[in-house]
Amino acid sequence: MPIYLDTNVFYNAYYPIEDTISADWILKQLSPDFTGITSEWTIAEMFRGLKKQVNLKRLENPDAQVAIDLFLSEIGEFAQKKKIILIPVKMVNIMSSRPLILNNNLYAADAIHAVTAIQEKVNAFITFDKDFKRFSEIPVLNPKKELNFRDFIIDLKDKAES
Amino acid sequence: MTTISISLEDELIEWLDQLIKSGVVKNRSEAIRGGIFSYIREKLGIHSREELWEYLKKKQKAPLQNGVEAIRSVREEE
Repeated sequence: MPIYLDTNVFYNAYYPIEDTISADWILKQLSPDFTGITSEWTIAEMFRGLKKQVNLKRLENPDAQVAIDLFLSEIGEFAQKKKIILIPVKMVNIMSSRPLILNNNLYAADAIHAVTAIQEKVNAFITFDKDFKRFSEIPVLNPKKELNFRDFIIDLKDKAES
Repeated sequence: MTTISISLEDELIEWLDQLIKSGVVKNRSEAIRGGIFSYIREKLGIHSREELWEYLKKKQKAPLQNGVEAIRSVREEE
């Protein structure tokens, strides 16, 4: 009973912003029976997201490197403990993104995340992005917007672990 | 980027080469760079997300963008 984690969940969990506690809580719920799925593309987006903070002069490059290092170290540990599964971007994902891009007008990266989530048959797509375009196959849940988000996650987790 | 030469034990070089063979890193330089960042992080005492938040709060020059803003701007770079 996996859930898909969009890149902004990881970004919010690792960097101190207003949604950090909420994103951190999500990562703390993961277990080998209640796995978080994400695309390997998430890692590149994490690199770029932090580099943007350097370009915006909010952070120095060495501090960004330190932050990225902890993220990489922990994501590796999560993967080893089977709490997170990183899905490679393959040609099959790229081809499946075609209708989402052409019919639903998703951005290329959004479509890769969506297609990965659909292929992995996740129970929910978790994102803090209220503008993430909905797609019919999976419920898109925003921890900030959904009432009872935590109850929903705990319920899913209980079902997965029972 | 500056090129430097360093001395390493044969055993360490074997480990590095195994990392390259298993596809974790592309080459020896990349492996050593990664190791240095981890060493610096360890020396700064950052072993958890909570410790990273505290560190970044002190080091940031202005509040960081939130995840939606930052990642949305990455995706719209295309």
